[in-house]
Amino acid sequence: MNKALKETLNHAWGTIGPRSVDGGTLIAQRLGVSHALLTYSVQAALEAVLRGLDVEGFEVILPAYCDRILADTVLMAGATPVFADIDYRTGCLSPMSAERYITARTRAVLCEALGQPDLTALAYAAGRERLVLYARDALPKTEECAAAVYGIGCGANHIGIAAVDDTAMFDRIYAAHNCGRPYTSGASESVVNTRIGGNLRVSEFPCAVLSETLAALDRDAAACEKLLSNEWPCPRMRAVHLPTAGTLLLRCDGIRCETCREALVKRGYAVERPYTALHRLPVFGGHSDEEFENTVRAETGYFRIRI
Amino acid sequence: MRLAVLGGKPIRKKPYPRWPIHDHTEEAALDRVYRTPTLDESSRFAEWYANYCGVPYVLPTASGTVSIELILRALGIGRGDEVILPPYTFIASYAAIRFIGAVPVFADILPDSYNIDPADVERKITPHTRAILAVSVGGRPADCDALGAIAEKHNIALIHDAAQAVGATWRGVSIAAYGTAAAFSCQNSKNLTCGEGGIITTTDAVLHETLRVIVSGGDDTHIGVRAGINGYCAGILNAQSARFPEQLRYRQESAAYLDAHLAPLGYVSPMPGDPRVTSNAYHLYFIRIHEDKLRGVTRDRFVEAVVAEGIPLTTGYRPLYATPGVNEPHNTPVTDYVAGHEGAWLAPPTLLGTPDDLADVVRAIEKVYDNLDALREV
Ligand SMILES: Cc1ncc(COP(=O)(O)O)c(C=O)c1O
Repeated sequence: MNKALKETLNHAWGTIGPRSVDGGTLIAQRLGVSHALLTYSVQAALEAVLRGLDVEGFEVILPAYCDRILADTVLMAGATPVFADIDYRTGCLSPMSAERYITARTRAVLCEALGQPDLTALAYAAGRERLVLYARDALPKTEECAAAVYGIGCGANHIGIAAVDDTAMFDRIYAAHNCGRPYTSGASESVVNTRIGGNLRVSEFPCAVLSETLAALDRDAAACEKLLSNEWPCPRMRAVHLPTAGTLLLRCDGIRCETCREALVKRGYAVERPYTALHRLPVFGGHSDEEFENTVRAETGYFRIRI
Repeated sequence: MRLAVLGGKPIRKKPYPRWPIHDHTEEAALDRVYRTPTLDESSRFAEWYANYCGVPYVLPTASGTVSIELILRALGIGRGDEVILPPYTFIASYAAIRFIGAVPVFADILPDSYNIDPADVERKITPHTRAILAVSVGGRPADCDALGAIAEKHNIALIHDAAQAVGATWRGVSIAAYGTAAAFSCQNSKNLTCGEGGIITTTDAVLHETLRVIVSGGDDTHIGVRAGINGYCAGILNAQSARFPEQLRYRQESAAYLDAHLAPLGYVSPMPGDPRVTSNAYHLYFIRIHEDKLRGVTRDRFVEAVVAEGIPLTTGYRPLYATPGVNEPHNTPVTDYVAGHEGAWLAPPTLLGTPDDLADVVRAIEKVYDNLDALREV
């Protein structure tokens, strides 16, 4: 049996034990940030960050083309999702489009790192203190954001990560994830609640195998990296550059995307369309009259292949 | 004998049983999941729990707190809606209501169960009330009959915060089967534990389906809250569940022993029985401390002295409204009194102790009472 799991079972598998604490430190070091909090899922990490930014009753800007988790979590945290377009080249939130929707009520701006987002421009447009980066199966570093949220590992090994530099912000995120008790109150039982917080805590078990999860992530990302210079079946097809584990995102810059898709399938790839636009879904407000040119284009021009 | 709190020898130094308990079956479960991280341990556990409680629908989740939130969301409760709850509970009951944007409204508790007072619930109902969140505090079911009748009369939901009440029954039926839905916690301290986890039960097929949609990521009209239980945790529950019924029986026997030995003392007393409570899950064992019989010694000082004797007794919940950030109005005199002057409970694993461990609880309490004057003088 796996040694780390056995040790965890024999010593401490309770609430916020050594595995999750050490895991947070390990991730923070790797990312070069002051604090990283592990949560039970990537959505829980995003929820903790949004609650840490006190978004309830305010607006949060996010791309219309992104992981649906972003929009779900904005609603969960009691904020209004305000959609903006993506940049077709990177697949990420367009700074220009985002800027158009920023108002006095904007509390956060979310950007999924599908490819490499232009964080400098986004931080300039949104303000660094509001900018939150989100990535799945990848740990891109960032200094230009208030916080970054990651989801790594599959199945039972999945964990969410909320990474921040600012200690006051980390206190709020931590409190949101653990019954309102701030990080700086320590792990003692006689802790004081300073805010309203839920339970977004991670189990000790997936944290016990965190270094294996990270090793697998790096291995898969390296395999993905190798594919970046591949010749794709269509001359106008490009890999969107962000090495993620297990999948590669491709973008077709031409107009005959369906033909591209078929060509990929013929080459033996499992191909899926990553997302459909979120802004049309009734649950998110259904602003179907908005025209997000790049989002519409990405719905047919983006492919995700399993590697 | 000099009190330990005054420098004397404590009744005991030996710790009470360790919690949680595990053996090779938990190891095997972790190993299974490690080999196949996508293994579905959750459905197997759900099946066991459905059988154990006699309810048709069970959804294992990431925590007790998120279970309450999910139920509220699935019922379409949100901004501006009011949810009635007792203030004598863990902060999570309140946080779940606030996290979905609804308004918590406090109703008082009953002095002889510490559970929510149905008469006060009825007084707190307004046109905005959408649900009652009834906590089974310590593992003893709240009054399912009266609360059920109120919920029906006013056409509102009755949600059981049964976080502490795995194994509790009311009139022979699991708490899981009463009301609109129930939320249980499998967090580390709880009687059926996996470290972090929760369970939702309901008898309502439509509600269960909505919950399932939400937890699996939402659809066109429902938000997605991906809060299913972690696979390792579900595996652990599949091992713990085999041990649970016997542990519950043992806790109940221990509680009966303490009831019998504390009742005659007069200055402290056990919680009175209720024939409708056919199984008290005894997550917490409450001891009522009667300050008026302690000749000027406060409950807090009395408990401090008992703790110094080596007994894991605590003064219980502070009222929720004493928590920073909880600003709702409250008119709950029973809670004020219980939280400030009367309530105390034994830490959960105490009831798994040996007969001698339990006898020490009684001995320590008697010793402190016998030395009240010394205690008062310092
Ligand atoms: C009454 C009550 N409600 C809710 C909860 C929350 O459960 P969890 O810790 O699993 O989120 C608890 C846990 O301590 C509790 O005691």
